[in-house]
Amino acid sequence: MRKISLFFISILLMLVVFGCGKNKPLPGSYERIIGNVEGAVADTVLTLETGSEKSYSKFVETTDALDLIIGKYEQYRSGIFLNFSDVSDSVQIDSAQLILTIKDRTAPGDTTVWNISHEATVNLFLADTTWDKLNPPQPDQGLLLGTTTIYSDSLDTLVINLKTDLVNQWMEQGSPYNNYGIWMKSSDAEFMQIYYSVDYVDANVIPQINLYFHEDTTKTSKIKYAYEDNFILLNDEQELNLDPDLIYVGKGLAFYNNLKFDFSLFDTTIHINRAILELTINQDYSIRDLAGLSDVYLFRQSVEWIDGSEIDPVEGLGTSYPATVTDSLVTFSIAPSLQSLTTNTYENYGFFLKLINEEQSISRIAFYSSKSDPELQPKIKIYYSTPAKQEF
Amino acid sequence: MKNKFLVFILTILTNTILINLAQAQSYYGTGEFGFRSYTSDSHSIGMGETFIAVADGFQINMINPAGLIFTPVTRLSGDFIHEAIWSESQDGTGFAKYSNLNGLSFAMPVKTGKLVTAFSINPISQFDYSYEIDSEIDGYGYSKKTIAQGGLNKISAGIGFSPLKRISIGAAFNYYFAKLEKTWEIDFVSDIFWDTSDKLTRKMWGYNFSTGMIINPMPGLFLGGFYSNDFSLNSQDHVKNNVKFGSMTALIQGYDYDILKIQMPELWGIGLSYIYKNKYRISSDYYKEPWSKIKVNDILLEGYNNSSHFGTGFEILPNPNSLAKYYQKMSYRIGYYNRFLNYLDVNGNSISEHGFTFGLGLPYYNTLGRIDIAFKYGFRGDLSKNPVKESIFQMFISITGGEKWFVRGEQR
Repeated sequence: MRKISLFFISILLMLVVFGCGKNKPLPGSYERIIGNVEGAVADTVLTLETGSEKSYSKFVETTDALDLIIGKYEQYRSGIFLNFSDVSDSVQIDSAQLILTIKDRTAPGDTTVWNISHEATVNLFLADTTWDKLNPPQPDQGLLLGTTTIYSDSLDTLVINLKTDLVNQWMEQGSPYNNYGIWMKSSDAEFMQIYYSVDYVDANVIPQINLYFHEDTTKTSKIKYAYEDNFILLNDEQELNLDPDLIYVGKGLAFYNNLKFDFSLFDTTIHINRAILELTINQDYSIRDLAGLSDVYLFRQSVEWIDGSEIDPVEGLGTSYPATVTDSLVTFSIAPSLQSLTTNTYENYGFFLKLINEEQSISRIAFYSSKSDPELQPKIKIYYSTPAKQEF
Repeated sequence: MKNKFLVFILTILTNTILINLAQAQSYYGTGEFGFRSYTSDSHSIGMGETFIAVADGFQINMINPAGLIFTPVTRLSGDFIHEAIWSESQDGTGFAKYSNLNGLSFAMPVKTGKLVTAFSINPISQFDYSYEIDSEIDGYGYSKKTIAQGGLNKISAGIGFSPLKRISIGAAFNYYFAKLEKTWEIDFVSDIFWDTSDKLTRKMWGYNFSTGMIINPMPGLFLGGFYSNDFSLNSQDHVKNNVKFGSMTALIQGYDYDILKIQMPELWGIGLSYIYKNKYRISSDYYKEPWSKIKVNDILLEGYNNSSHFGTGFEILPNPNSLAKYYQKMSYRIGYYNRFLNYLDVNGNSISEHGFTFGLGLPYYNTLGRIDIAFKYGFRGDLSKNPVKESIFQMFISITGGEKWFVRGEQR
């Protein structure tokens, strides 16, 4: 019995396992039988409504920057502010030197600037009022602490000999200058030099003043380290002669932008397969540093844009998107946010464009806007699928 | 049970099915409930899908529970299906195969020939298919898939009772439950795209009762009928729309629809069987399910048709002589059936199916157990009026074991 049964079972099992060949769908059955033509994949390009970008700019706090920048870099002019703790002293200063250690240098995009050595004069002033970043002081020759020349091809430590009488006046107990620090600028530099700031970990390279004085008949010296510093853009936005029809992001002088696309043509049920927001760089109005482009970030804005009001970086910004840079294009893959916006999970307040690390350096990147030629305008390339009927 | 052979076969079949998971993909199984089936018992199927008045001691009959009374010993039965479908339309041809467990039944006589209780779980509709087409957009390749799986199942608890000689009656409580899933996927080849999917899950639940009777007016002749009442089936849809990027999956939207009340039609049938000289049996059934009456929230649904089934079969019964050769102890069956499906096609035409069945009964364990094998070859649809014609080959296996538990009274 078992032999016959097992024979039959074996034949049947082989039939089941190996079947009668591979499945082959009935031609056209997908659309006709399932009725799923609605589950289609499509693509479209959204552009901004002309002139719908919004922006504002502001000088950013750079006290935490690792760099101190002086000189001129295309349209930007930067100076340095330094402050020293416990400057009042009862000793009589014989001489004093400000020491800054060069970290790097930068210059306009035209690299021929390095073919010859450029020189520039740097003036150091005693500040007579509290440092106001938004209202830089005007040079007062009566408070000129020292002058030196910097060279574009020099990587030597910068040493500025300070006027002794003014240093003594500065450090005299009860002096009105004790708390205000010093500042320096160059009016004729065609390049920038970058120095280590007080935030740098190596104490040997942070800004310092070497003081030489007598105690009785003994010559002695001491070092005072800066505890506060800043670099400051000495020209404001108006002086930069910016093209108002472009979109900017920047460091030092930061620009914040709102790009609000209209997604109302999409049904709330669509699925986003890919969404790429694309910005085209205008190089003529851009001032780039090495990290500039990779620091471009896009955020889903989670509060309404109100002209003149700053967006709170915690409450006002949602998901962030880093940039991908290809030639003159900066792109952001924003599918998650676009999906959330089309499904009304979040209200569409637009996207917020800015640079991160904006307090660390100086740079500016310009992008074409909705007022530019159509192929250069900000756009979102969207691949999406319309849902199936969702019925049996 | 001590029957190691039964366990062995069940294990082999289960493992076989697990490695052979193709979808049915019948054109006519893509409707709301999938493809309706009535019996998974291979003995019945081998005889033209007749079961209403068949007095068979191995068949655990939960559709007409009056038939339970013929169960002489405690029985456990497992059913399996393998099918292959060749489709044909004006556009071309297709092919699909499918294998799965097809039911499990347990019956226990409380008093042999007088009172039998039984439990079973069976699929009553099958909803399994997948279609995939490849396409591209802007040079990016993607595939669009539709995957459906699930079906309506029934758990039954029944009792067969013989109050009078030659008369048996039965009743069963049937609990219906379903999980039907349909998923639409967009799957891009490139990793820079989000893949998306919409999954619609429909859960159903409800219950009804079945009653039946078999009378034996003269030796060898059995007349039977059953009625399963119309009932309310609760149905709720759950939707989940997801995106997938690499290994990360996120929910876009998820929501539930309100519960709907589906008024399911009744099912009734009549049948007869006749045993001639304990050597041959003929049987014939007619059963009907008026699906045109199906309603959702009291609104009549369109696209449904009254389904009906007529079947007839012939069986050479096994030789009861213990000294007979094994092939003489086997059963040999043949049958024919004709049915109308419960759906109308897209043009509103009815769809018929007809075919022939062939079956074998292989006894084992000193005839206390039996392996029933049934083959069905039929045709579904007609290209002269329906969009698709399907040629169906189905193979059913039912493995039934038996042991004597608490047996009292006479055995049939």
